[in-house]
Amino acid sequence: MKSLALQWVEAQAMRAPHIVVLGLADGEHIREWLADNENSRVTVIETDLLKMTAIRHQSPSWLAKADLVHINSADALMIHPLMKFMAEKMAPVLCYQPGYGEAKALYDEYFRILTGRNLRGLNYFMDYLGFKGERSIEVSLGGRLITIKELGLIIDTHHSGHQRATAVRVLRELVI
Amino acid sequence: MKILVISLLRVGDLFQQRPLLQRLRELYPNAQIEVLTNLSCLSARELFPEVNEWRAFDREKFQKAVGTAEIPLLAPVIELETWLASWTGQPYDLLLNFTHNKLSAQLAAMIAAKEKRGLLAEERGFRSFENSWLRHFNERFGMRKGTPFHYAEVLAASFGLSLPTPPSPQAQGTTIFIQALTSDTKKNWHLSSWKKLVDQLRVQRPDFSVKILGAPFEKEKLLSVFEEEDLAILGWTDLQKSLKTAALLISGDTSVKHLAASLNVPILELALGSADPARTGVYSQGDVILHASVDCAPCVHSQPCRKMSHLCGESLPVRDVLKTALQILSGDELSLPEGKEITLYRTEDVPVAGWMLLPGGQWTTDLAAEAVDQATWKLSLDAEKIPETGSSAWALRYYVHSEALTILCAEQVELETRLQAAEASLKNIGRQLLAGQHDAGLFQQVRREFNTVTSLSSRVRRHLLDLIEVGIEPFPSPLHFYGALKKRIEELKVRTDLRGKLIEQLLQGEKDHGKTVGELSISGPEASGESL
Repeated sequence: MKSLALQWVEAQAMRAPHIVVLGLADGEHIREWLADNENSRVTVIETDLLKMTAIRHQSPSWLAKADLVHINSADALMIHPLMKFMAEKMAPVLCYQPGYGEAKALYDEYFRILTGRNLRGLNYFMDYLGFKGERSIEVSLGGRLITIKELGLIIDTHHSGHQRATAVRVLRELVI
Repeated sequence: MKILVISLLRVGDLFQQRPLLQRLRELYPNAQIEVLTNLSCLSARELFPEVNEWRAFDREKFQKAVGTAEIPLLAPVIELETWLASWTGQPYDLLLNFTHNKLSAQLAAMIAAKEKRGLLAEERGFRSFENSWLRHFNERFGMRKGTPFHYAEVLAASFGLSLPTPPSPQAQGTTIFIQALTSDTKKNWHLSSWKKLVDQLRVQRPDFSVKILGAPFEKEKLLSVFEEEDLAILGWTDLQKSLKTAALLISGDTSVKHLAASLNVPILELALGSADPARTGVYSQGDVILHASVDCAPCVHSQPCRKMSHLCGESLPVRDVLKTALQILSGDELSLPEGKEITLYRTEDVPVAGWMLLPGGQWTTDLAAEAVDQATWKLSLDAEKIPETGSSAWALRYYVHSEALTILCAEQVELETRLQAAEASLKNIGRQLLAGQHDAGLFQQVRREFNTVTSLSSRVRRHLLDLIEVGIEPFPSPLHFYGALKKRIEELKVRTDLRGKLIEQLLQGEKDHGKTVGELSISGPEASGESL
């Protein structure tokens, strides 16, 4: 029978030179991922420092291609260098839910911030990309992730003249 | 000189745009002509020697990136910019957006060019259209019965590129090609019907060979009905070569149909589902279209069939397709289909009016009236030039006879009456606005008047369509309503006047010469020293 870690790797449609994984667990899924994606590099975010330290002590070979990052709050994430890395590389963010433990809500928040799919995360990345000024979302998300449609609304409302606004509008046309 | 053409629809549209690309090459023989198209269309590039470079838009990749939660929301924005920057260096001298949709308009806005033509996005909305044909394309092409013109004609005129005369079919071999599958299941005739047709063709015309065309991805589906040796699974280049030996192509509404038309292959088109023969039927003169005229046809292109069964496909009997195919092959006169809801059309190119569909393959009184009306539209849309109604009337004289002129005159009276009523309403509204009044009742009454058109002929209704729209549309203020109405009435007046002048000249020609249609000198007024 396939392990949870292997099943997780096989279920991922995403392939990228660098990915961010939320949840370290025992690290098996990272080992499997790197075995399947030899040229890939992984940044793993873990909220439990003890768990991370334990893995580091074991020093598995896959650690050579993985960076373990301990972040224990959304505020800490916002000022972490990982945010700048994400703004530059726009790496896919994959969730390993078996590794979330009791911190599911926190990991969900990390996911939204890192992918720019809540206003906090989106504000960071838009500022980084030169969209200056205040912005808000006029529609209620009701727990949903921000999509290109809401981004389009934000652009039309707050940044309609920005040089990058048209690129957002092109992409919005692909899903309407 | 660097020219970029944006063509982001399907391969069939690219084939229809081919004469325009060829015209561009004639106009700019030394230019670098590039085409931005969907990745899926790139396979046909070898058939376009007039194009120097192709740029592929990977629509699926961007769509996937936008729709995948794990990919940061702004990542595709950066990716799109990076992709564009990788091939757009120096600004283009000319950018032509042949694709009339918002996506292409936004992309056109992202690409630097000294001159841009066609739909173009701006910071707030879209650029106002630079000519009346583009406005017509934008406002009427998407509406059923909104335009009398074929897609190829509207597109060419919108970009000021002259279209060559539609090709005429000429059998060049002894193979009957069948293109059974289309890009949309709604447009497909059932494969079992195709099989029966092929079997019958082989029995009745053993002197011809029959081959079923298909792309590699269609092979498996075709093998569910046909034998391997029946199939001709070909890439675009081999397909073009094969079609040059065709006696006939029987096809649904497909890109192969458009390619075959440009190669003068005789075509029998089966127009089902969303296929709209009046707008995107085979652009040629002398080919045949069998159209299932069921109530729901043509249906909406992007939506699945909403009926319990495929009514249009089921209404097309194999015997009608077989009979028509045999008549084309033997050069016999076409007979009317037996299927109650099947209309047979022959394609025709009429002077001044342009491409038309002849129901039953015959020239009728109503069609003659339609030709004059179509010519009116063309002349009014060309109104930036001074319309030559005299020579147009002369060119049309063989097609228009007394009965048609009677119909046209009656319609003209109706049209002029409506125009006068609309002008009077406009004046009333204008007076009220000047006096700072706003009688909601008057506005309602005007709107109601515009909507009372059910008793009118389809041609008159088509002219009044803009007024009907103004009557329905909400406006932010009475002033906006007035402005929109004024503009529409001015356009209608130009058309109505032109139409009246054309009819008058046709009537005068008939009266002066006292001759019936077809008796005038074919060399034109100059040759006979006469003038209309």
